[in-house]
Amino acid sequence: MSEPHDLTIREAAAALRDGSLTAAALTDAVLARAAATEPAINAYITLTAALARQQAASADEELRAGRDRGPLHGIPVALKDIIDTAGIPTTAGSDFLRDRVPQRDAFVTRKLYDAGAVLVGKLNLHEFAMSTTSINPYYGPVGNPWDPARVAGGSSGGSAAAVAAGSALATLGSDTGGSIRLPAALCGVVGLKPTYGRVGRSGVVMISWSLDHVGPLTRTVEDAALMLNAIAGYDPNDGGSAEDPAEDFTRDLGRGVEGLRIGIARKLFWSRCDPEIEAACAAAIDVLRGLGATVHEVDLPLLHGARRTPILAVEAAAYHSTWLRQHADRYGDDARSLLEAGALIPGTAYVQAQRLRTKIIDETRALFNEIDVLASPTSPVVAPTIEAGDPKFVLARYIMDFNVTAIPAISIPCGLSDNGLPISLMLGGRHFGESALLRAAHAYEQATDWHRRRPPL
Amino acid sequence: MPPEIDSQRLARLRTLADAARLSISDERLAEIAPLAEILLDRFGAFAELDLDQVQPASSLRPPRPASG
Repeated sequence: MSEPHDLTIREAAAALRDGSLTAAALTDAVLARAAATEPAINAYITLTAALARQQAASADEELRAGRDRGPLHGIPVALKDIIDTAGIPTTAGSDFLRDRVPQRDAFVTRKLYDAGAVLVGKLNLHEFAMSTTSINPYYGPVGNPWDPARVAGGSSGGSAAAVAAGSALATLGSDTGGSIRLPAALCGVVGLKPTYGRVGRSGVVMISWSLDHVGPLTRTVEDAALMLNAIAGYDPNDGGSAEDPAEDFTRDLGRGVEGLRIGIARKLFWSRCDPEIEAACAAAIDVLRGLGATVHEVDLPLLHGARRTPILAVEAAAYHSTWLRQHADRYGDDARSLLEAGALIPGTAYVQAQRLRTKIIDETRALFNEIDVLASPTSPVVAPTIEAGDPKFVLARYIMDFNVTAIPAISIPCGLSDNGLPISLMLGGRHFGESALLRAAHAYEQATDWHRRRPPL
Repeated sequence: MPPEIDSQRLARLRTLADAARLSISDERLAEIAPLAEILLDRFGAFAELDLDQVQPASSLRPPRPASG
């Protein structure tokens, strides 16, 4: 058996029920792993060891008494530090909120607690979740478990690094312009951005009301489905929440990809890509083709005009307008530049961008009458060094469009570069089509072993 | 050392900053000019599209599932 900190949710859940493992022992193993890896990785802003041990003891007691809350019962998880946790600091990786202790749990925090999950801590991120590296000016950079001198990606860098390092079995991140999928890709784990509206966001520090999503980072596609089962649902305190009925996202995982239509938008999502990454992702698509999928060249012409949309920067500038006017010097360079640039955009430009977005969403919806998933590399390059960073936002080249179109998208490991860094494939699906998306990703995962690779940490 | 920016570009950004009532130095405007101009230039691209009868996408109305 793997070390307890290295188990998937599914494996740990089985061990908790056959008596070979307790939630207390699992939690201790994860906390020990965090103690061993944090000096190099810095994935956490706050560790909640005492709470975790208390929750684990309760989980064990409930299981012994025959009360089983489901697959997440007794599973150690962690949350990006923009997700509110009652009584536990939630800093958003900022100086402004350094001492903020929320009185209420976020919608997703409550959902995970109700599912029996154990909270290990709050995870480091790019300041206010506003860029791609998680080089945080106040809490330090998140190191990539595959090479701690390299970035973990952002903005949910701690969320990805903790899963890769084994200091949580699963985590939640947020994704406004790729912030779940990118760090998942650079750290070699699975990252799922659900459809806009699928997961409630009340109690999450916002960047952009119309682009923000919350979703899981995990070791396997099945684990991502299990996490989505727990957190999906209507949130009456989130104006963007969808009133869709609950689904079991594991339901279709074993159905394979026979007849699945894969779209390749080469000009949009494969341009200026590192040849090593392009080859690995093309090989991954060949695996799916070998399993019965068909491949089709497609395009989304309107999306070409929507790249670097002002929507994110303008909404962020609106959210931060008071702080920006009064205390601009308390922001780090990345966040401050984005907010100041956003503040300069005229209102008409913002509305025009949202009108264009309407047309793009219509175009995307039409495309998904012809295909079932859209496939591309998640990132055009492997993780850069912390020293180099990502000053030109190269890491974000392919990912932002999936926030504009609001479709679900998943990043899954599909290779290692010559210098031993993760390479990942991104699959996008139709609106509220997470089950089909997860099915395709799971089929690939079952046919390969990239998800079993662990960093040499 | 603040980046170089010509007076025309600076004047354009200064007008926008004043309209937004944003207190910002010329040096800071020069630093954020590349990012701000990328975002502003998107507006130029939109102007050529036919957006007649198109309403803005709303953050309060999630996209519905495609039929089929």
